[in-house]
Amino acid sequence: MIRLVSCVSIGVWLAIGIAAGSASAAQAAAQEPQPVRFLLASNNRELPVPLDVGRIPVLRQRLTLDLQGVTVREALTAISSRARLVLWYADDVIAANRQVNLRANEITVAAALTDVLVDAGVDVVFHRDGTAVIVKRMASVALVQVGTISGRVTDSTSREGIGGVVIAVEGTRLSTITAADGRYTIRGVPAGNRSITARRLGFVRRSQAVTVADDSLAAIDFVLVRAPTMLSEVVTTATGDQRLVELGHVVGRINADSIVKSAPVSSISELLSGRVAGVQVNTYQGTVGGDVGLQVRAPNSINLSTEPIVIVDGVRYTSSAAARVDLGSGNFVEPTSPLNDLNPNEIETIEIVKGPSAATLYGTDASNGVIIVTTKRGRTGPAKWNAHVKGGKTRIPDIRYPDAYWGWRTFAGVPSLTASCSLDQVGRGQCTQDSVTALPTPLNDSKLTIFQSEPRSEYGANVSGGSHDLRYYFAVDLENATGPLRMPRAMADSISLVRELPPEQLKPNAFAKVNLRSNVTAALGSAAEVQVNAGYSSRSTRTLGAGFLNPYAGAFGRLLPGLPYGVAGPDQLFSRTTTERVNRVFGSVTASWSPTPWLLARGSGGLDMASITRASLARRGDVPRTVFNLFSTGEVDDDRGRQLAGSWELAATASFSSSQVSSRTSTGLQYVRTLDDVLGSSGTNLPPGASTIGAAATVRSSQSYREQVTLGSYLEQVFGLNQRLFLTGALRRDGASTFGRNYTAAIYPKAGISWLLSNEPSMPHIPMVEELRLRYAFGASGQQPKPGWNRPGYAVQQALIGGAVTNVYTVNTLGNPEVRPEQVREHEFGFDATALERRVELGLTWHDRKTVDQIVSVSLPPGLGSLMTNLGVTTSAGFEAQLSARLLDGHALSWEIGFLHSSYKTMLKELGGAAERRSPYGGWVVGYPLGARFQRPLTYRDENGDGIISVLEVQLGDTAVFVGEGTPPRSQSFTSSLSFLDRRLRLSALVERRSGFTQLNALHHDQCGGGICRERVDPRTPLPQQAVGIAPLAGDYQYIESGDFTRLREVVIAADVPLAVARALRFRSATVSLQGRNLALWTSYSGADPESASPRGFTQQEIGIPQGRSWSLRFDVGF
Amino acid sequence: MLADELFDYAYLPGLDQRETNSTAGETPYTRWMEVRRAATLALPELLSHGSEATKREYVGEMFAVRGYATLGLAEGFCPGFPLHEVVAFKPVFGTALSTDQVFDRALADFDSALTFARDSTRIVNLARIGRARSLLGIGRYADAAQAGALVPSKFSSSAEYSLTLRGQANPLGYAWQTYSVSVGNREGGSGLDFAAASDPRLTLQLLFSEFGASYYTADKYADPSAPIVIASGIEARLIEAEAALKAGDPTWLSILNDLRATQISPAMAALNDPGSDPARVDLVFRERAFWLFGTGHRLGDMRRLIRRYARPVESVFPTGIYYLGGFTQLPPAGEYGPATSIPFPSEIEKQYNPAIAGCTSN
Repeated sequence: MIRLVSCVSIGVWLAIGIAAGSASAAQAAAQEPQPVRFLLASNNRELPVPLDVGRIPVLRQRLTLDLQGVTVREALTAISSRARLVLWYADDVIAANRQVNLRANEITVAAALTDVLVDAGVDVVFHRDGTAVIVKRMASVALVQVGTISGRVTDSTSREGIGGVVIAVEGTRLSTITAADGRYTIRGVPAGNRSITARRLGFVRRSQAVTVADDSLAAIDFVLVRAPTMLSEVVTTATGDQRLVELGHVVGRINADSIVKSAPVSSISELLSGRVAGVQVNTYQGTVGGDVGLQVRAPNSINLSTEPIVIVDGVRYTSSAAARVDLGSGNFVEPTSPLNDLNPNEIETIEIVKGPSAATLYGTDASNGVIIVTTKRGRTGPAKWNAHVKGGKTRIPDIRYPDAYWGWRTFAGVPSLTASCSLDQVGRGQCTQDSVTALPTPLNDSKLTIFQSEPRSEYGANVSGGSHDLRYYFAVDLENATGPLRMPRAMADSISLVRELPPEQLKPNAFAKVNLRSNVTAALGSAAEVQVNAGYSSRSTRTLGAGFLNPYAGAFGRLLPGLPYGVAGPDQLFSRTTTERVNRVFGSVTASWSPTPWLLARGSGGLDMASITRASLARRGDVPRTVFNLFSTGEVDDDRGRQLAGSWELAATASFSSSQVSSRTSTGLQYVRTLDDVLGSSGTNLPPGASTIGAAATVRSSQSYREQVTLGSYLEQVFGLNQRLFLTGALRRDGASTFGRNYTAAIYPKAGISWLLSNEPSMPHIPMVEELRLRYAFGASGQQPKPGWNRPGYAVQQALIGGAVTNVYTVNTLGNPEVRPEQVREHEFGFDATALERRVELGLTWHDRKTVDQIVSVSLPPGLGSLMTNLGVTTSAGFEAQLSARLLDGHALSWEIGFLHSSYKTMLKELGGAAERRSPYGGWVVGYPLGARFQRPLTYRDENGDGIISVLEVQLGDTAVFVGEGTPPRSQSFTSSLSFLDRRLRLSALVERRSGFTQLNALHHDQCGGGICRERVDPRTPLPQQAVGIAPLAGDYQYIESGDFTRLREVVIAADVPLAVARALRFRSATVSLQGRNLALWTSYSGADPESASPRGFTQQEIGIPQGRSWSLRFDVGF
Repeated sequence: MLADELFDYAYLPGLDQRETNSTAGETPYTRWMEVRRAATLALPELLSHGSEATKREYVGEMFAVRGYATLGLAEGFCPGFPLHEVVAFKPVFGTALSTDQVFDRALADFDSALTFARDSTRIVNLARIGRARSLLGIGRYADAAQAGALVPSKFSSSAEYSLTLRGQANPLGYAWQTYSVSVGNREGGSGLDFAAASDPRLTLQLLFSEFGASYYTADKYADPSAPIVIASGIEARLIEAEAALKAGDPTWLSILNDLRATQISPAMAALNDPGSDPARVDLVFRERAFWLFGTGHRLGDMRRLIRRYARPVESVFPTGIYYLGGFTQLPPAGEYGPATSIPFPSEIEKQYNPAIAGCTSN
């Protein structure tokens, strides 16, 4: 397109330029022919500045022209129409009728214009709207002297060029991005003293002054120093390693290697606790080796797991007790934690993918988040040995437990020493109280308590090293711990008089574990690499009975003469021992091949194989008196389980990048298969001294088998623009054996945007802020139904047929052929900032979830059972903040603090007609949070005015009402680390808080239910408290109170041994640290420990032994 | 419980008092429905396993099991409940049925059983008696007699029980061990004298007498692993006797006396013709009550007396003051209610079929 004007006036500057310069410029052109100049008009009154033609797309276009003997006007018409360039000029400016010749293939528009207008003495001035004006060469433009700067940016450490660095001329809009080799060029830089800035994520921003001379080249190189920030980190994703800055979602990261050495951490669960916003670790008991529960953000499901999945070195890892092979409930024992089969000393990093917006590509099961564990790898170089030894003691903190109350009674004039007289009985005329005595609970009596300080120890060593072609890491770790429990001294002495007391009965809780690891990485030529990671753990856990078989609960239930723990005392229950042994082999092989620089293919496979045995033994006569006379004639249980989880993946990633655009395309196919196989047998009625099933009079056995398979595929595309805007889109498709046969596949979409605002040239620089990123992600993920929900349930049981016991096969449940996975869709928005020379890092995240197709149990007409059906809808929304700051950063003293916050709110939106559950243990009711507690309101009236509230004078309302949340919707942690003497002496602490939830005081409930709490016995108790005390007898009434707590989780004093001393001892390095865990608790909860009473799902709540308090000393040496 | 055969001490006092509450019968109703569902689900599985011969026998047996479960519902529960089906593991909800329609469904199952298991005498006889019992319920007496005619008098098919297998004890035997159910004795005035009759077919033990009530157990279930007879040749003969009486055939009495002479040792004395039709009917039903005690027949018989023989309810079911646990010296718990059948849980069924209106009659 072309516009002919007689006089051009686009902006004041142009008028000035034409008027002032036309004559002189024409003369100059005649004297000294000059090529056409391409200029850019500015929006203000400044003169135009030269353009870098390479950056103007319209000028970079290539044309094929054949212009023979045409006029300049005709030539310009041809060029502008072909290039779709709006070109303004006056005929007299360009000598329009002059003949020109131009014949060229694939010539740029800039070159074509230059040829046509050569010697015309004109400038082509581009306006912001894309139009261009041809004007007589302006003399005044000659005043705008410009030059070129060029150079290279290199890494201070590697000396290699750094691509993607933004080079900007301060005070102008001129900037460019370095090529992969770090080189750059900026043309048209106004002459004079200029400040040039180089910035790239992960490096310290640097500015240099340079003097730019007219029409000359100024060389300016930059050497950038690495400064890792949260955005520059590389994290493990489903498609391989990716820079955090490219992701639209937040990823929590724990550098395990450095933490384990300096923090009181003996397990993965302790490593995870309080270190990433939104991650909650629930430790159910203060015993050693016990079960732990993980929750990332809000719980998503009513009937399925609320725990994240765990992936170790790319392979699925069975982590929760619920997912562990079910050895049967007949043993009534505390579960142990499969997660803690891993050894924290072997781990390099743990990354937490928090929800569906991030976990989409991990497929069905990942809706609760993904915990990605990467074990340590060998590093090139000579062998480096590290060893550590740790020893300490754990004890249950001293707690003043509430006294038990005894009402001395007289009935019909006869005093009784064997039965207490409660207020309720007094009110109903069943006895007369003579007096009331407060008796301390046995836990407050040194001879009767089950608590005792017990030791724990750890030893470990590893070596790593290798060449470029072969790197290795080998490690061995041993751990031993005795639980802080024992049979009370008085009872142990009493038993020892009549029989031998085996050590396992004296100390019923113990834990021993051996971990071995071998990780080898081998380079196969220059384009391929194989990683073989293998781990082995052998664990033995002596564990307690669960529920009413735990004597801790018995300490509060009933008070019987001579039986301070009621009928189920530790002398009885500890005499039944249970030992679980787990041998677990875990390994993965990953091969990667990069046939071209842009293609990376990856194949991996791995197995998690566990052999589990759980044996319980109660010899005849050892347990003569328990609830329901269990075990009195002897019982032996031997359950053996085999669990296997295998995962295989094939994936490929193609990456392309130019200085402005990058592209990353990934696709993969994933297959996961899990199976478990259990054979259980038990024998009762043992002969004296016998301990084998074969000797039992009655033998029972059972067998179960469960298998599930998931096959998924995914495709992901990531585009990067100018290293500051990253767009992600992905899709995953899953099929699973647990889906209903009428449901074919689950489709999970994903999208994300990450915009590094601080690298945006057009954005004004925010003072003191080095990095600022906005991010948004959307994604869906799911959780598959449990095996058996999708198909008829078959069972084999025994029946009498023709007088003979015969195995019969029954079809128990219909199964739902329509059942499909629960789908969780999540939006996540947030920003990350680094400021004050990277002293402060801040990340804020908002997330919003909706779970559709919640699987609920729907009752069918009588006789047909129930169906698990996708009907429910739940939502949750939450906020997370992560702040770290270096307040002091000196050699003599430095001080760093960190703060994490997370909060969420869940809501059950629909149940689709399924039955709601109103329960004090946690339930689901439309319009209320998931797992909220409901309780029937209590009313009372002293009808007969006798000053006593009997059970007949209290009433529980018909409908249970909401009384509080069941799980903590808010959690915070605060860390503070002081370092002295060039960081050689360090002092740190971690405080954790959870709030906004209610907890059952089961201890109080058991005391009142057993008639021994003060409210049930002491006549001085005010009536309202009496009513509360007697309420458990009127129905299912629980004592629900705030469970908020703050805990001093960790305290560490660590010191590096002076190098001279270490070397004198032939060590490369040596560190000693004193570590304390769970040292203080602040709470208004009146039970023993609100953390230990954590719920398991929404259906169970037990009295938990308070969290153990431990001190330990650790030595680390390197050589 | 609802009938005069047993007296409840603990478990289902509502039914024992002829309670009309719709939830009172939920548990027994659910159990019968579970048997129907289990048999229905087993049918396709059995059809795909085993040899042709065993397949036919097992499928036939499963049809018979479903037929007896359907009979239990027809005889015991008020009309108006649905029979749900399961097709390819998907529930297909039914509509309200009359008692005769439920008997028809049972009849269809027994017909299927006879077709499939024609080579198995055991199953054929089981199905013949079920068929005869169904026809009796519908009131087709001659057809009923003919249906069971080929079953030998000595034939018996029982449900087996075990003490060592979890949850498989004889429910009556277990109840007697836990002191919760007693043999009835002229309950509510109109009930039969099961305890006082000193009938050799029903030998009893008096366990205790307290507050004006006596607790009896029957020796036939003294062992909680004793079997319960589901169908027998004796029942076939009893059906023939009733059909003969209905038809005015005088052989009805000889059939009863033949049973008394041959099916128990020592033989019982022969019965005399009481002389009137109502008394003859009473005699036939009394013989049924004692021969078939504790086998789930009595409630159906009492209902038949009302439906088929137009007997007033008061003359058949217990009436008057109801004493909880039978303890007449303690305050009464109220009066007997009007129920002559077990109410089905209509409120639950309505959730799946709003057309279900509850009991359409008693």
